[in-house]
Amino acid sequence: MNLSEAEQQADLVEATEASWSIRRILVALDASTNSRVALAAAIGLAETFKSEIEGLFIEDINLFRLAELPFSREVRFAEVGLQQLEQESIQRRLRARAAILKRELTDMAAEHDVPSSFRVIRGPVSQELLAAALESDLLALGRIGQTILRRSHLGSTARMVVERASSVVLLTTPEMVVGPIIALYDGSPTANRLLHLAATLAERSGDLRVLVWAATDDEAFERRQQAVEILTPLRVQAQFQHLSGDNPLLVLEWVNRQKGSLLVLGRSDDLPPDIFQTLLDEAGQHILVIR
Amino acid sequence: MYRSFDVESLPFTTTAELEDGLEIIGQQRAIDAIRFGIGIRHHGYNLFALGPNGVGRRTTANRFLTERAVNEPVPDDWCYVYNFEHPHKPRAHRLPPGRAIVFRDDMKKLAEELFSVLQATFTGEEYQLQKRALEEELRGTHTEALDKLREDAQTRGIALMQTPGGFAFAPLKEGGEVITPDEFMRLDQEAQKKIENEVGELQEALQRIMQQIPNLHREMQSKLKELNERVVEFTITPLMDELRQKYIDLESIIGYLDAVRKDVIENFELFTHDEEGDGRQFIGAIMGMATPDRKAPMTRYEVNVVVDNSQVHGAPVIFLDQPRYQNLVGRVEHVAQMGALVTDFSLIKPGALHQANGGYLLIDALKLLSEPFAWEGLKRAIREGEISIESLGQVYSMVSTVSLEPEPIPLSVKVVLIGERFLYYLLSSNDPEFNELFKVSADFEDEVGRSVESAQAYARVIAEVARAEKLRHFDRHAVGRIIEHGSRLADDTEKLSTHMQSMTDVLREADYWAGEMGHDSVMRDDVQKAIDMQTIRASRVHKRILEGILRDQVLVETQGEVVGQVNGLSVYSLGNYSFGSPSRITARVRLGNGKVIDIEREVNMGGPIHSKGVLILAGFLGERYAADRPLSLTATLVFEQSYGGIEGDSASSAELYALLSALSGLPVKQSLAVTGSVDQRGQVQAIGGVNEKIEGYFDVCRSRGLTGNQGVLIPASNVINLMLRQDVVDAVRDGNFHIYPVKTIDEGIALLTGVSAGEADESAAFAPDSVNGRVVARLMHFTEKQRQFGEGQRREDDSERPRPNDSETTGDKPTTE
Repeated sequence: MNLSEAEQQADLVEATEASWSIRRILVALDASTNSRVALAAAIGLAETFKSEIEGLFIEDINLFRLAELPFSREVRFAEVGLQQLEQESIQRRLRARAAILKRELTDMAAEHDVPSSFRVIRGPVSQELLAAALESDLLALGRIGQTILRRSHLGSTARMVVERASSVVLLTTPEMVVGPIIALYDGSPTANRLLHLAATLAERSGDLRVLVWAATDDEAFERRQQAVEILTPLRVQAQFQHLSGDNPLLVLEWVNRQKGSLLVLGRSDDLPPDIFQTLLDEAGQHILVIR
Repeated sequence: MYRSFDVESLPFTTTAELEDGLEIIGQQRAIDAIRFGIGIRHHGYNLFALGPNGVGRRTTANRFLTERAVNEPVPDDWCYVYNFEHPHKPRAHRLPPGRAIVFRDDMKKLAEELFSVLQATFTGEEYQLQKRALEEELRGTHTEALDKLREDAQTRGIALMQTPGGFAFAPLKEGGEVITPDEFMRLDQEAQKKIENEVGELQEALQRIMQQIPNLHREMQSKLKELNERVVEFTITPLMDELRQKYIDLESIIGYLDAVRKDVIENFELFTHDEEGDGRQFIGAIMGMATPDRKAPMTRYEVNVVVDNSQVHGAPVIFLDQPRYQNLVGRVEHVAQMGALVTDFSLIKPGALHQANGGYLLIDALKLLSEPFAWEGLKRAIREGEISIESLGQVYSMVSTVSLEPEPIPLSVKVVLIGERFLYYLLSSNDPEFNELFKVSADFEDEVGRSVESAQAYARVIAEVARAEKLRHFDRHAVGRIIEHGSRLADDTEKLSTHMQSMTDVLREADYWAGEMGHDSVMRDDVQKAIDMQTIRASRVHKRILEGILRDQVLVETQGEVVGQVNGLSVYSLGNYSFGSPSRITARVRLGNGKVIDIEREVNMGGPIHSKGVLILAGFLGERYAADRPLSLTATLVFEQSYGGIEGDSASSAELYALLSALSGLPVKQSLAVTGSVDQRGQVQAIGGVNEKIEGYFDVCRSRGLTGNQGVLIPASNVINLMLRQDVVDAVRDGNFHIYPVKTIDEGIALLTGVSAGEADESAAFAPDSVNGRVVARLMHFTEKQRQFGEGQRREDDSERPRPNDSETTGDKPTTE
């Protein structure tokens, strides 16, 4: 390696570190199991990136407004009949949940030596979440909230956040899957950054699987070479697979077959929206969405 | 004095010419008993091989058992498997020899295959599609209804909202926000009423949908279960059928395989789901760490082979070296998990009874009895005819935590206990179950008759040991010396010791000395050197005692004459080494009431046999010298400078000689030492350790310088026991030392005093100058003194006693106290 190559590599490392300095992680909490998984996953990332974590519990303003209406009634889970919806009751129940989540956050953060804070705000959920996300580098939330009938599709809040949030977004599944880190590489600048992030995450497990996607076989092969070149200086062992075509189900099948713990996905113009959306909806692991 | 062995009777030059084949010398009775014991196949016919250590009990029993076992059928294998109905009671299965291992491997392979095929099936597109279709089908109507309701509400400008405990409907204003109470109140009444009605309708509709949810879940679970079971059964049937076919001849295994099939169908999730955990595990998991252990379902279908006879030829012969309870009946081990001790059937470990089942088990009786609960455990297993693995905590109800109760395994084993005689008799008389369970005793001899045949058998043993232990071979003169040593160990010129351990020690050491001397084969001198060096190595105490005598710290005279003083001889045993040493025995007599006082006994330093010997002396004195008059003496006897206990009656003749000397006033020659017990008629009887005693006195005399007058009086019946050291034999042959076999006390006292003992004439009187005559005269003197003393005392008593008529005068009644 000559001097200029060494310099270039140093620049690359510096650039990577700078672009992926995740100092602050915001985790959106409500009372569902899903948000506990989000919390655990976020702490794992905070430990890796040595970042601080903030728990955000948003009291939905619309609930309080509703409770003020004279005819407001609540249909509760596992209860027969309608219950009067009262502000006080809503307030009490939300505070109780917030207290539980705060304790969980504090305990888990202390256990992993991660600085933490917890905040309760009242307002419209989506707006508050997007506003808070502006102050953080990574926003973690469950892919779905509470539902009556469990479905795997992306919830409305999560969908909105993925579309509009400026930060990196971690979408967590209701259930934890153990396995390697999976990265989807499409050759875009986002994908280049994505590979660096995936490499950092895979440092501890040593198991990184890269799916190189392109529209054609030749292109896919070429991108595979690029991916190898990006990862080689990072000294991360990875398995590569390349795939071409625009069938989202093929990509989904490959991803799910890996039984990974985390899918690192870039939101780029190079990746067909169908593939991106299918993975968001159907992939069986946590998804880290990079812009 | 020493019976040499005629080496000409040995038909070889060195033992290299002798054939292989371990001889068991002179144990025909024990061998017959073992043959009988192992031949009879009835309950309770177990063996106890009794005899002293080192006579080859274990070797003999092991050899016979091994010879017999090799022609017996190989016992079945045993394994433990999971009990699907009662997990804490693992099931035991019997399989033909060698098949348990195969079965274990088959089950391991099956579990692995189940993993892969079920994983593939359940992650496969076909199943996923079926599952999703089912879920969608069931969920569809409700989801549809809910979506329809949500849409219906939306069209009316009402939103379905999630509350902390359920759902509610909220009227929206433009921009998607919930209408405020003020805005609501500003609406006209009709609009308000309309909203209220619409919300009311939606709430009712939502309630109806929510009430259906539990039914939906139940129905979904049930249908899903049916689907899963159908899929699992379809997937595993080819695998299970293959195994069933392989084990079709084993009914119990077929039953187990059916249970496995049922269990796999019911618990297929074990093969398809990764382990779930709480959030804390996820933290590591997201980083790809701590891959969950998939052992649990594998363990469930494992086969724990506790008895594997695949490599065994014939019936097993097991020697249990450490007969602890757990080593005997097996144990259930535990592993620590999250601070708790847990176990399962795969942690069942077999004991020696499992390994020996269908064959033979040899155990050292002393070790068995020394281990807590082991003897009870063994008896219980034999009595019940089965091996139950229970921890001691369970057996004695000390632990009440749930543990495993493995199914007992039927037991058919011949147990051979090996122990000393005292253990056999102790158990026989104190443990009623012992005689019931160990009906055959194989009593091993300590010694065998010395003959050409037994000597040749000895030679064959030497040859075998030399080969087995890679020693030099022994030439026939060396063999002759070992045979002579065998006689010495047996303390009998007509016997040979069967203590093989001592013999093999000499063989090894002789080989060492042969090596030192550069001999190609072991020669007589090498054997002699080995024996001598054994003696020297063990002789520290012997030399200290000898030194004490030579420095006159322990007083023993070896010349001159003294009244009432005799050199007795004692044997000291320290471990395997015995040696003799003289002790001074003195007797003193005075007027008294016929008592012979044993000072050792008075101070509790004399054992019961010694005391018995002394009491016999009193019997002898009374019968011979005072049959028709009171024995009016008190005699005291003592082992001078004895600071330890005295046991045995071998000094009773010496004590009697001292007593006769004291009574007769005739001095005893201190150049002679005496050993032998005596009966009430004055017969001198055989004693043990005659060789050591003679050698002990010889050593003292030689150290001071042999005078030619010194020697030892031994019982004539002990002559056959003489196997003396060569230097003693040489001294006697040259007339420098003497050995006097005596049959009676009269012979002995004549030798010791130089005066004839004297024989009683027709009137039972002895010649006055004879020893006996002098003793009688002295005793008569005592009797006369006693009589005179008695009369004088009576006169004194009479003069002090009140006369009879005195009491009559006073009218007082006589009193008795």
